[in-house]
Amino acid sequence: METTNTIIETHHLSFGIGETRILKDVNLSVPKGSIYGFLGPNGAGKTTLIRIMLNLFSAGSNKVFLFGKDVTLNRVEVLERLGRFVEQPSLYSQLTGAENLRISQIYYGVDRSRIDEVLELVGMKEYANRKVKAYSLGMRQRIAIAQALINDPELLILDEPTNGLDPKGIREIRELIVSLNREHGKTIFLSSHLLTEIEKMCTHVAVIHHGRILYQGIIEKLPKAADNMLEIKVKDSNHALAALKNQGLDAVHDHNSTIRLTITGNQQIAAVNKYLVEQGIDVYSLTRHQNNLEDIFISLTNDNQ
Amino acid sequence: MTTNKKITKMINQLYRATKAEMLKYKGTYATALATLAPLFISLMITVIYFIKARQIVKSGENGMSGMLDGSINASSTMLFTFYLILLTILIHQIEHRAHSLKDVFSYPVSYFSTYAGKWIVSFLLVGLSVFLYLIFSLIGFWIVEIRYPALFWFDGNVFFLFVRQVCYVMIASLMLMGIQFLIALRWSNVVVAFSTGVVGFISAIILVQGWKYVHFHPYALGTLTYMRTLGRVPFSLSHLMIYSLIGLMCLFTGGYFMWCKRRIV
Repeated sequence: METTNTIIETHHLSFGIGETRILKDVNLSVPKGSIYGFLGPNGAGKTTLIRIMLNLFSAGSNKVFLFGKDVTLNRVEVLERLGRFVEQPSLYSQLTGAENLRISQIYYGVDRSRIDEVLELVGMKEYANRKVKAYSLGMRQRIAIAQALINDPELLILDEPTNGLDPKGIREIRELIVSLNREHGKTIFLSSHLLTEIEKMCTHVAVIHHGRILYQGIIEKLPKAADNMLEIKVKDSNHALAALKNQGLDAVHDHNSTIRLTITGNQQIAAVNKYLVEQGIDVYSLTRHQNNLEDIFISLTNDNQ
Repeated sequence: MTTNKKITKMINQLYRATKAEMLKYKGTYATALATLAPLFISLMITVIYFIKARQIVKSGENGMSGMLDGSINASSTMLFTFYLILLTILIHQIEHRAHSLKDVFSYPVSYFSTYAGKWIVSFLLVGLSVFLYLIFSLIGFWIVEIRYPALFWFDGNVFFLFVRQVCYVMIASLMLMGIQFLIALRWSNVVVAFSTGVVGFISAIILVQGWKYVHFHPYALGTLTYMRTLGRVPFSLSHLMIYSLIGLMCLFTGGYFMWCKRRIV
């Protein structure tokens, strides 16, 4: 089952609570060394899958493999090699940041010097001896990530790590995640419903909706899953629309004088422009609208409904 | 892996889980209760005897006996029960309030280690309270003895009886503690655990008055044990304590399965 380049694998994973099916036939494959974004709206099944990976929910054996090992059968061995942050920082507010890390350090049975190392890594050394109840959410988030790093894990599983942070905090956590991947070689699996965050950080992405994986692969290839759009502004949009449709093109009216058209490449943009001019239509602008992840997500989810 | 290695690994995990568990108690209400409750009980009795010893202690009698008996009398019936109810609630509130059970379950230690670690630390806390209670009672006695040297003098037999009574009552109360421990672990809502405890306590107080099967009531065992040490009830001490310990073991085992099957949301 162990494949050298895959760190997380799920095989036809389905899971439900009571009558509700939360995950349906999920086949996930997370490559080593990647920042793998797990994208989906709230309630899509992201946290459930993460909980199954951590064996907080049991989905049965032969379903989820981490480091090539069945999570259900090798719980302790698997957990030794990963770090996790699930949903929100779970810290003991009566203790200091360093004391919270001490608890994790004892549970993992690693050297005490790791506390200082991870505090340094997350930029919290200065505040380590303050009580957690005096921390901002961003500081708590950092300590929680430090907890996840205390055992120097090969894999970090982060569930919505930027949830509830202000833009500055989001940027800091993003930079930290990218540096953990690039400078420290950690594989990072992170879930988010913030599409822009995934775009900015991840090398790979999986899109989940209603418990089903709609797409998975490298992030650069994701736009090919949806079509590119051309926005055309003209003086007489009705005339232009009719002319384009006569050519068999899939053009639609967007706003008053804007036409949206599905295109396949730059050559087609030039051809459309030339054609419209030949038809005596004044063209004000041609804008290639490269789909962002949000468009793609909506497009993928609509396709699957 | 050989059996020896497995056992070593298991002990190591249990040690780590217990040590980590102990750290969580720093600055908590549970620790405050465990240290302040014995002080409160002892202080109360000391103040009463400090002010009114001449009215309470008859001339020629050793006031030590009455003072320590008054203390254990009040404690066994009510204070120990409420102490254990509150303590178990506060112990589990540490985890419930931090929403940290999901973390506890995803550390690389066995379920048994995390579960047993919680019990061990709870027992240590109760043990600490008992120890402090004995120490504070002794200090209280010395203070009163200094003020009324004619009415109070140290008698080793009286103190030894007091120590035995306290230990017996605590052992007999462990089944109650087990019930409260599991309820407080299962339900984060303190009302559930507290109201169960209050219902158990009130029913025990009523049934102790004369129900012939009261010695099977977990919440009455502490009171009955104290009464037995004075010869006021017919039940044997060993029955009361062994029944409590068997109940505790059953609860520990049942609780372990509950812990393993727990779905962490």
